[in-house]
Amino acid sequence: MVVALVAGAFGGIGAMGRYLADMWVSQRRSGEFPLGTLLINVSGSLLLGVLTGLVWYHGASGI
Amino acid sequence: MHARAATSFRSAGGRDHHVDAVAHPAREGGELLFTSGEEIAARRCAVVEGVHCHRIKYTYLYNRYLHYTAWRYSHQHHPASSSMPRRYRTLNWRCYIGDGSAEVGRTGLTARVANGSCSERRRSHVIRRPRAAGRRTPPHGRSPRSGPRCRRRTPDDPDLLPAGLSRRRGVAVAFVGIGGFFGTFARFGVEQAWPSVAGHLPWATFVINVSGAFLLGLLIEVLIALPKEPMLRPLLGTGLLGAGRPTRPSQSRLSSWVRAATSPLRSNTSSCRLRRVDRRGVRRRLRTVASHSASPPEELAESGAD
Repeated sequence: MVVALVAGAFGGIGAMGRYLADMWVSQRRSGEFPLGTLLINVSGSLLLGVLTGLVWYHGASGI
Repeated sequence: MHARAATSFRSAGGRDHHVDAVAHPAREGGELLFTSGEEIAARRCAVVEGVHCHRIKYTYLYNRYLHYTAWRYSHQHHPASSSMPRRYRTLNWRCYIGDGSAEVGRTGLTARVANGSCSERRRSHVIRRPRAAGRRTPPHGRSPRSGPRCRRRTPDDPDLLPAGLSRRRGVAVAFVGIGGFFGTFARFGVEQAWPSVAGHLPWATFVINVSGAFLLGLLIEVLIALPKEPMLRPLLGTGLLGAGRPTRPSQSRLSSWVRAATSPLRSNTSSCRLRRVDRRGVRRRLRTVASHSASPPEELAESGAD
């Protein structure tokens, strides 16, 4: 339960960060294409992959 | 919330006309009633043209009312792009009556005479700066200084707030955080309750993602139908469902489509044309729907534009 709450808290922080980053990008690049969303998704996937790799291959403690 | 204005004017042919105009900013449209209107309507009904709006909208004539709808989206290559927040400018649109002798916009109605004399000039709810008589600047070559002055409304959608910190933006971010907390919490719970088996597809993740995408689409449609509740999308869409927010242009276009499809008056239109006009290097899409006019209204967009 505590783990779920911690995950939720970090999820909230991440959602806010994602929202702000999207806002930051879309206010500078005003096109029809959702560039901010693309950047967030691509960078998020990259970070998630790196993190998963660290946990799997370098012994960082998983949950 | 609408601006109502009336004007009388003498057209180029010497006839006196009276026009009642109602502009509905929320519906991005308006109505014009021609009291003396048959000849105006017959001559050339009208063309709606957004001053800074490069997407053309629907016009259709029904029962001597001219209905029109504007895209709230402007081209990014507009000369004034750098000086004003792009999305504010697009809220200003106007409609030309007949030969361009009167116009109605979001900010009210001004009477303007193309080739004759104006018998009366009255403005209501007009915030736009009066234009110098006889001076006609092209709508796309307008410098930011000489452009129409609109009072900047604080937009309902927190995504459209001007850059920088503000209280509303802080509230929106907080809502996103709350939604993100509960969304991640629920997702974590589902993943724990339905653990993925090694070598098999992680079904919990799959179901969560697909249902989240479905719910996000459903949410957008519901939010369009609902009365404006600006913080629901940050809370439920960006936060809870955790998906990238849809960009505003696509959403407003979607809502325009929804409105156009559901409007009963739209079904009375008999002809629909799609034409592209290339002017000043800006590709503009003209979509004009005129049920009663035989003459092409696109020409008026050229001649009636100031």
